Order: sequence, then C-alpha cells, then structure tokens
Amino acid sequence: MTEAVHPRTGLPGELIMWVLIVSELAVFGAALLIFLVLRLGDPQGFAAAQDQLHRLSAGVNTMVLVTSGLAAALAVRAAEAGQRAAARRWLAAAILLGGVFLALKGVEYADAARRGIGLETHVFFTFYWLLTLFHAAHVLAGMILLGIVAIRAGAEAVEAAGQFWHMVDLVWVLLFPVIYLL
Amino acid sequence: MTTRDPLIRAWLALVALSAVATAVSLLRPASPPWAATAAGAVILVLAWLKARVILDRYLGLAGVPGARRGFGAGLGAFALAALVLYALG
Repeated sequence: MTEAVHPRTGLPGELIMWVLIVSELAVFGAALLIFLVLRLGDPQGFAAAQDQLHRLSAGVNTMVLVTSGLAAALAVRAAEAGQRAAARRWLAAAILLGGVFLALKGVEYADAARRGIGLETHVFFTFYWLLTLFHAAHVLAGMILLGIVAIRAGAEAVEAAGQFWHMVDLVWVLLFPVIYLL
Repeated sequence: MTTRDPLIRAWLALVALSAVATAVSLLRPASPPWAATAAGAVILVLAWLKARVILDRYLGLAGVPGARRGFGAGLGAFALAALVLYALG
C-alpha cells in the first residue's frame, strides 16, 4: 500500500480501519498477556499442552497468510492504478490463500478434537480455542469483505478491505509465537 | 514485480522471519534453562520485526513517521512485556 501514503494528510487508507486495527491489537494483545500471566502458575502444564500443537503446520500457515497479505497489497496497488481486472485477480488470490489458511486450521482443529482436546482440557487450550477461533472468524469475515469489494474493484473499497486483511495478518504474527512457539 | 519491489521484499522478509521463528522453536534445547529463554526472546523479537514489516509495507506506515513510531512503541512494549512474563515462567 506504499503508493497510497500521503505523509502531509495523515494515515493511509480509511481512518475507521485504523481505529479497528488499534482496537483489535489491544484486545488480542491483552488476551495474550493474560495468557502469559496464567502460564506463570503452571509453566510445565502450559509447555506440555503446547507440545500437543503442530508447530510446523502453524508455521506453514503463517507463510500462507503473509502471502495472502502480499496478494491483497498488490490488489490495492492495481486498484489504485485503475487496473480492475488485475485487482480482481489479486483479490481472488488473497481469498484463495485465506481458504487454504482456514482449511489447515480445520485439519488442526479436527485433530485436536479427535484427541479429546476441548475448551476445558487445560487453561492453555481454553485460550488456544478462543483466540484462534476468534482469529479464524476474522479471516472468514475478511474473505467475504475481499469478495464483496472485488465486484466493483474501486480503489477506496479495495484499500479498506486490504487494511482489514492486513489487520488479520498483524494479529496472527503476534498470536502465532505466543500460542505455538514460546 | 521484482525483488526490488518493496512489497515483494516485505513478503520475502515475512516468509524468512516466519521460517526462522518456527525453526528456533522446533530446535531449541530443553536445557540449560537460559537457552530456552534466549530462544523465546529470539522468537518474540522476530514477531516484533514481522509486525513492523506488515505495518510499514503492507499497511503503508513507512511514509508516516509519527504513526510508525507510535505503533512501533506499542508493539515493542507488548513484546517486552511478553518476554518478561515468559522469562519469569
């Protein structure tokens, strides 16, 4: 979205989207810090619970999501240049990669459910399910939004949807290390 | 699109940082304890860097220094708090 930056007039894109980005970062950030505070009371239990997650699969999914972010950014660039067909193609790529992300999450959730891992298995999993499902809901909402703006592929609408999609990216790069890697 | 394109460079950086963070997590030694803590610190710094790349390049804050500093400080405070809580555990 580099081309849309106007340093003298303020933030790029829609101001309301920036309010949403800050709000979402605050909510997820606070939840992740509470998660880490609760970990202090049972570090071994949290480590054992985390070992049951698929770190490699989550790492691959991170790469899928940041690649979808690239597609969304390229869609914004194309829409700003008036290249609506190209913008639609990049939006379709972003949506497709969002679908791949959700499909991989689905496999992960099915595996966890098959092993009897639920909300009440351990406090680690309470946060795991709530935070990752809440994030997945944002991914789904983002895919719908990208699909809607692809119809007309107007620059402002594509940029606003792109901002939402990058927010989903941003939340994931903070959630992924705390839940899966630490 | 070439590797000189800021968006392509940002994407390459994000993929590389994600791969390194995952590798550090998979390969970190269980002992001594300081090694695990050091690995955690590396993972959090990589997360902070990824967030900066998304803000700067995907969301276009590279051209808005004031907002860039504000987001950088907020994310830095989060990463530092997470690191302290992780190290205490």
